[in-house]
Amino acid sequence: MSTIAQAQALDAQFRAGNLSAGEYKELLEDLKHTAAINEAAGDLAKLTQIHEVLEGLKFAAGFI
Amino acid sequence: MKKLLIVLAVVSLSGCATIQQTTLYRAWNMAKFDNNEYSQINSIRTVANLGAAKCGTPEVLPVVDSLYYKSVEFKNYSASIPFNEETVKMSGELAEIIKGLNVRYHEKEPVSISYCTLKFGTIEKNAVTIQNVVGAKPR
Repeated sequence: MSTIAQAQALDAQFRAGNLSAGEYKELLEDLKHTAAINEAAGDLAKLTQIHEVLEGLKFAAGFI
Repeated sequence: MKKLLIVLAVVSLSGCATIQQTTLYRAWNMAKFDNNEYSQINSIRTVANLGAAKCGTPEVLPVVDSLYYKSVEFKNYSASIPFNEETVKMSGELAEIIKGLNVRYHEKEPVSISYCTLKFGTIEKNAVTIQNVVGAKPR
């Protein structure tokens, strides 16, 4: 589910009276925290991939 | 000779538009897989997974306290490891999410079941994201 869709789902919950204003605001803030976690996770996955390539090069150099 | 080949390979890689030299340096030195770090995020995920069922009952409070303690522990532990910026960032953001839950459960105002369920779901989802990348770190 996209961030916009999640925000819309929260809005629907708030309008239905299932969430207080404070709870609604906090859950919207959590979407920002989630986006930041996803971005950092993507960066870490990318670094891991590059690290594996570098390790492969190091290993290959050992045969020369 | 070997070192020269590695240097040449790295220099040729750094020629790619998408890979900067700083990224290569960080990738080479990046924090390796850490059993304790992995165990801590797995524990947060598991507590969030099981705790969601306690929303709306008095038993949820010790679960919330436990989650908050574990999230701060994870944040502090990851921060002490060199070249671990991404995990530090993720653990800090997760701790902020859990802090909100902890604060709300220690206030006088009642907490809605919808909020509790959504919050535990968010915590578990993010813990899974973090666990996947922390578990894939180089050995």
